[in-house]
Amino acid sequence: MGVKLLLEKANVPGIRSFEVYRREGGYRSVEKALKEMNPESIVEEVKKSGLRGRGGAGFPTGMKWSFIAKPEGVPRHLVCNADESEPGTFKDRYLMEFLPHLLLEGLIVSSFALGSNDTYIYIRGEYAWIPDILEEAIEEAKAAGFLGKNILGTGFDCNIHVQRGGGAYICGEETALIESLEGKRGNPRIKPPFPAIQGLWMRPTVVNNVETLAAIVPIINMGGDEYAKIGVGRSTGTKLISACGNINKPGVYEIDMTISVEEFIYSDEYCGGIKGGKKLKACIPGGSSVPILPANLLLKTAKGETRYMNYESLSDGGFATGSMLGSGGFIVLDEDQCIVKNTLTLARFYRHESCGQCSPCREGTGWMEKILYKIEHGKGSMSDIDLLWDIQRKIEGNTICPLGDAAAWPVAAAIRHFRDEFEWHINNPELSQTSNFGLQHYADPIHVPA
Amino acid sequence: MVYIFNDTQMAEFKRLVARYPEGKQKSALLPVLHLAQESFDGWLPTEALDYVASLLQIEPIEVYEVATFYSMYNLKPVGKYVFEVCQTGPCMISGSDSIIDYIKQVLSIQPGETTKDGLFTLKLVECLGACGYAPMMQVGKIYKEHLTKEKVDAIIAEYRQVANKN
Repeated sequence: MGVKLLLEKANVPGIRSFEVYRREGGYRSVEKALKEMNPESIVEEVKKSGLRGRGGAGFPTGMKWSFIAKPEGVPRHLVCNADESEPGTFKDRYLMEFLPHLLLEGLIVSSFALGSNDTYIYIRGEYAWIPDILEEAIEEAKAAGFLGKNILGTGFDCNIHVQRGGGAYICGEETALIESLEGKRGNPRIKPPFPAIQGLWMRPTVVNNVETLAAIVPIINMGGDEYAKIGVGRSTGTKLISACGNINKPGVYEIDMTISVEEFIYSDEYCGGIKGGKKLKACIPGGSSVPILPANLLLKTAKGETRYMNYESLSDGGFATGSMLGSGGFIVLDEDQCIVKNTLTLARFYRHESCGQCSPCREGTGWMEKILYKIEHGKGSMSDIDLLWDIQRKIEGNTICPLGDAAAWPVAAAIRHFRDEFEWHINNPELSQTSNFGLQHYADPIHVPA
Repeated sequence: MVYIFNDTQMAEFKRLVARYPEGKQKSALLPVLHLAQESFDGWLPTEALDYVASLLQIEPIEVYEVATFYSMYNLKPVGKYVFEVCQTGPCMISGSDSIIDYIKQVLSIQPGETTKDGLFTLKLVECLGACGYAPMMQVGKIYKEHLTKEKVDAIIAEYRQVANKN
C-alpha cells in the first residue's frame, strides 16, 4: 500500500460529519496554522512542499500564492475551483462528497495564509447534491468555532460560500470562473492582469483546485520538507487519479507518484487490469485534453524506459512520444475501441464547450467535429486527415485561454499515433461501419534506436 | 403561471444574495436562475428571466446572455423528468450509445423531445464527471450510474409510479 495523505480516512464510518472527522485528528492544521504560524510562514511551507496545482496545469502552488497583491484596504479572496469538468476526471467530486471537512480544513488554512475573509467554492452546477453536503459541513465547522468570526479566538474571520455553476466546462479556467462568479458568461479574460492582482470584483484573488487545497492539510501537519520527501523529483506528495474506461476497477485512487503506469493499470490495488481479459490499446492518462498514447508508448518511453505515474515521466518525450499527468483523469481504451470515434466524441465536447470568444477555437472546434464525423461515418477522404492536422495547428496557441490547446491536442495526438486507423476508416468506408480496426501493432514493443 | 417567488423561494433568494458584498448582487445570478428554474416548472420563459432581472436590479439582457450561455438552463418547456445522458468519450467507450438508443426506443422520442404525457425529456449532454461509473445520466439533482437496459426500465417505471400517485 502506498502513502495515503488525503484518502487515509475516507472509509472511516461517518467521516462526513464534523464529530467523527475531528475525532480522527481533523482540523489540527487549522489550530497549528492560526496559533503557531503566520501567513508568510504558511506560504513558505507550501513552497517547500513542492505542491503543484492538481487541477491540471501543475503550476507550483506556493509560488502562485506569493504573487497575490496586498493593496491597503482592498479585500482579497480565495476561490476554490470545484468546476471539475475535464472528461475522465471525477476526483474532486469524491473528495467533496466523502471528505467535505478535509476541503474546508484546507480552505480555512489557505484563507488565513492569503488573507481571505470571504472564500468561495465554485462548484459545477451538475454536482447538484454536493452543495448541500458542503453547506452542512460549513454549519458544523461554524458551530465548533472553526469558521465565522474570530476563529479559535485568534481574531481571524472567515466565511465560506458555495456557488453552483450553470453547466460550462470553460468555467474551470480561472478567469472564466471569476466571470461566472460575478454573474456573467464564462468568457475567459485576457491576462494580464492576472487574478492575483485583479481577480474577483477586480480584487486580488487566488483560484486553486479542490485537491490542491485539500493537500494543504497534510503539508501543514507534517511540514513542507517532509511532504516533499514523498514522491519523486518535482512530483512531490500524492496525487488523486480517477481511473475509468475499460478496466476492472474504475474509481478514485491516491498514488504517491512512484508507481509505474503498468502497475497502476494491472495491479489489483488499482485498476485491476483490462475488463474481460482484453488487451490494452490506448490510454489518455491525464484528462481528455492530454495526448492519447498507444499501449506501447504508454507503458514505456520512446527510450524504452519504464513509464511512471508522475508529471515528469508521463511527459517524457514531449508531445512527440509522451503525454501529461494533467488532472489525473485516466481513461483506458481496450482493443475493441475505435480511436476515430473516441476522438470524435472529444471534438464534439470541445465544440460544445468553446465559449465562442476566439475565432480559431469557435470555428476550428466545429470544423474538427464535422470532419471527424465524416471519417467516422465512412464519408472521409485522405485529404481530410491533413486538413484536421492543419486546423488543430491553427487553433493551438492562438486563443485567449487554454481551451483551444485542449481541443487541438487530442486530435493531434490521435493522428500522430493512430494515422493508419484513420486511413483504414477512409479506405474501408463500409467495413468500418460494422467492424473495428482493432489492436494492430499498437502494443508491439517499441523499436529503440541504438 | 405567475412568475413570482413565494415566501420560501424569496427567503432562499435573500440567502443567496447575502453571500456577496454590497452592490455585487449580480454575482447571485447563476444560483438565482437555478432557483427560478426549480420554482417555475423546470424551465425559464422570458417572463421568468425578466423577473430575475428585476429582483437583482440588472438589465434583462444581462440575464438573457447568461441564461443562453450555460447548458443547465432550459429555455423551452421540458418534461417532468429530464434524462440527461452523457455521451462523451469515457461514457461512449463504456456503452452509452446503446443506452441512448434504448431510451429512444422505449420512450419513442428523439434527443430534445418530450414524451406525449409530458413526463420524460431526453437530452444528450457532455461529460458530467461520473466517468468511473459509466454509462450514466442525470435526472434532476440525482446521478443514475452504471446504467443497463434493465436499470433504465426500472428508473422509468419508478418515475411513472411516482407521477401516477401525484
